[in-house]
Amino acid sequence: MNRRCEESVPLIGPYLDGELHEEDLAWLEDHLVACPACTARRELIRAQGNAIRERAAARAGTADLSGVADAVFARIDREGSQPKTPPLTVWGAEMWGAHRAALSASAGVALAGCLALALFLMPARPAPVAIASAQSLGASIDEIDFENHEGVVMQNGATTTIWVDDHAAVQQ
Amino acid sequence: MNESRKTPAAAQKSDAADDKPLVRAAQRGDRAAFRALVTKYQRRVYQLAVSMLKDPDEAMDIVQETFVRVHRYLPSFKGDSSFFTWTYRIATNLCLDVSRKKGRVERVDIDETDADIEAHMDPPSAAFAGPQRAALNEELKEKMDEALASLSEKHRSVLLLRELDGLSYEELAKVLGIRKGTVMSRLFHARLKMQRKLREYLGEEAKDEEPDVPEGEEERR
Repeated sequence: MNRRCEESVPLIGPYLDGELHEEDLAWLEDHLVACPACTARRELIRAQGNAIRERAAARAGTADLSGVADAVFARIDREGSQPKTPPLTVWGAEMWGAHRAALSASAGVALAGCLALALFLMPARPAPVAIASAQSLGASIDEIDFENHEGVVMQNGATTTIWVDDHAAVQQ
Repeated sequence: MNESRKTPAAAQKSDAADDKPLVRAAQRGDRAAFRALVTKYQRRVYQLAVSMLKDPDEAMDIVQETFVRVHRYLPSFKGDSSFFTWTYRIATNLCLDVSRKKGRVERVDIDETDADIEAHMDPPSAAFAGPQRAALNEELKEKMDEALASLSEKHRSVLLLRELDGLSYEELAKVLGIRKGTVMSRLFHARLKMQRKLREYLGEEAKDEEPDVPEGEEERR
């Protein structure tokens, strides 16, 4: 393929489509007259187009479309003609399909934010449910100040459990 | 009313002008006018849908759904594009939705890198321009479905829209929601791939190298 052919090839389609600018048009037509290879390329594209049209026309030509308008009006009358909001499930599925990465990242950030907020707002008393539960079983509970930390020592028979809360340390 | 068949670009302009009174009447609620529009364009929409989906039943559903949506959104149609282009856009999107739901859409064309675009647009046999052309055209038609099916959805849709109804690049850009340069690029690659497939069927071997025209090279001309 020589240089002129290389420059011609991308122009042949637009040429057949009637989309070539005038300055390219004259240049390409000159080349086509002199170049059997590019003429063959043009003919192949043209033949492709004809074949596509004929195939589609043959396929569509036999279809019975006589009831389409009635069917359309029947649906319009049944469903109303106002725009409807698509069902939430459809909207959600489409959004997930289109923005999967962004939604995943947003969910991760939101989860991290929730965890951080929960830690920030968590009451200083550690494990209140466990402590209440232990108290109900007769364990002794002592609140201890560990200087930088607050904590609780729970004695239940021979078992000693120390709860340390680093909330105070974080705040310092 | 007669249905509209394949329409050359020049005839489309007169179609668009003819449509305006019908569209305005339909917007006012004139059912006869809307019926006339449906009757006029239903076969072209069907032709597009059946070519894209290869399933007559699905194509029929697409035709109905297209015109139901056209009717639904007709009050908001301002006539910036032709009625037909607007209708085609709805139909095309519905076809793509159906393809997507069936997993037919190839999100990535793994075979369209520059390195792979080689030796597939070398001169086809001289028969394409010679006396055997008619016979080859018959053979091409038989293989056309297979070659079209081998294209990605984005390439098939742009090629069908162009070849079936002769939409201009500007109209294709509107229908597909892409830039005009992207239309040119996709058409080039779609035709290239079609040729590659058809040449395989015809048993031709590539002879020389294809110029580099990377997909995405836009707006050069």
